[in-house]
Amino acid sequence: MAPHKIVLRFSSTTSDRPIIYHLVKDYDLVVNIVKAKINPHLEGTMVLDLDGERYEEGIEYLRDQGITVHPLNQEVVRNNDRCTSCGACTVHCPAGALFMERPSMEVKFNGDKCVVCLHCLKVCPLRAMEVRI
Amino acid sequence: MPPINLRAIKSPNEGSNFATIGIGTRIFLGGGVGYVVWNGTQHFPGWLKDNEGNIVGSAGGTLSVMGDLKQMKPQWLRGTSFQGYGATLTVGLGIPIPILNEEILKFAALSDEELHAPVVDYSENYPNRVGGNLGLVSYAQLKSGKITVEGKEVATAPLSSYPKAREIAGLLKTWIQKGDFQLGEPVQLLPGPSAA
Ligand code: SF4
Ligand code: SF4
Repeated sequence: MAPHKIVLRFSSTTSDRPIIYHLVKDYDLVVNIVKAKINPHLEGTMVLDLDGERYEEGIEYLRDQGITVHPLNQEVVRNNDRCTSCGACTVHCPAGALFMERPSMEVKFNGDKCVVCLHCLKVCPLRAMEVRI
Repeated sequence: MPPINLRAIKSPNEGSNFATIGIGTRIFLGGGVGYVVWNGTQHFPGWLKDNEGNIVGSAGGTLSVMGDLKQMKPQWLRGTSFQGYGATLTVGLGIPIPILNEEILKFAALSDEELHAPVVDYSENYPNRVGGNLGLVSYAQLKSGKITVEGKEVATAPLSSYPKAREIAGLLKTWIQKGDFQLGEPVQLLPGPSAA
């Protein structure tokens, strides 16, 4: 089975804990950190590929620690009322999640393909792309 | 009527841009009714020519328009921010073109293959005031999603919205059919190719 792509959100009280160490050591999970960031308020976001037999236990451990866990495709959403199908995002999206349908020239968004790189948030002139937490 | 190839137009006096648009032309503006005031800044009413001097399209006219903000709708008037450029507005704009004669029909019926645009290098040449362009491409090529510039494949996107343009055209059509929106003759046409 392919590794689970998940997003972890840490509050300022949980971001200083060595949780990756515990995932590997205590639950024998294979971890690939796709992206990790801590903001000035010490709140953290981490995008992970996580795999292993004790995956569910690992997730339970994370939740017990007060860390929110979301599947990756729940993170970036499009506000369809704002999108004009201008296409600006389609040339920047590295995953093909935002693409132009032809001949209608309508821009479609496939959340399943999104890797949450967040390029579209900056590129979209109408600010139609949003991160859902 | 067979489609007219713009390449066949050799004399700049043959055919004219802005045959129906001028001061007072009634338009769809931001969801309400507005008017054309005059041309805008950077109005280039001349012809776009290829290397052999054939006319391949119009160079690029611009408009200044006026409307009543209270008639407008947020859906057609949006705050916009372009990365590296800044804040601006995205405005829904629709201009009716009455088909008064064969020539106007000929221009209005041009296909994507017959409409061309220059490729301008805004990263290097333009800020350094290096003239010229990197070639001409048709709207059909642009709409395909990629063009070839100096041997390299480059992704393209419209930035203005085709689906919204079609929606505006449909709205304007119903307004006109219902008699709510009347076409009038402008007091004065915009400067055309002879002013270029
Ligand atoms: S976040 Fe990245 S991958 Fe997802 S839609 Fe935006 S540009 Fe595409
Ligand atoms: S850049 Fe924004 S408005 Fe333009 S097509 Fe993409 S999501 Fe829609």
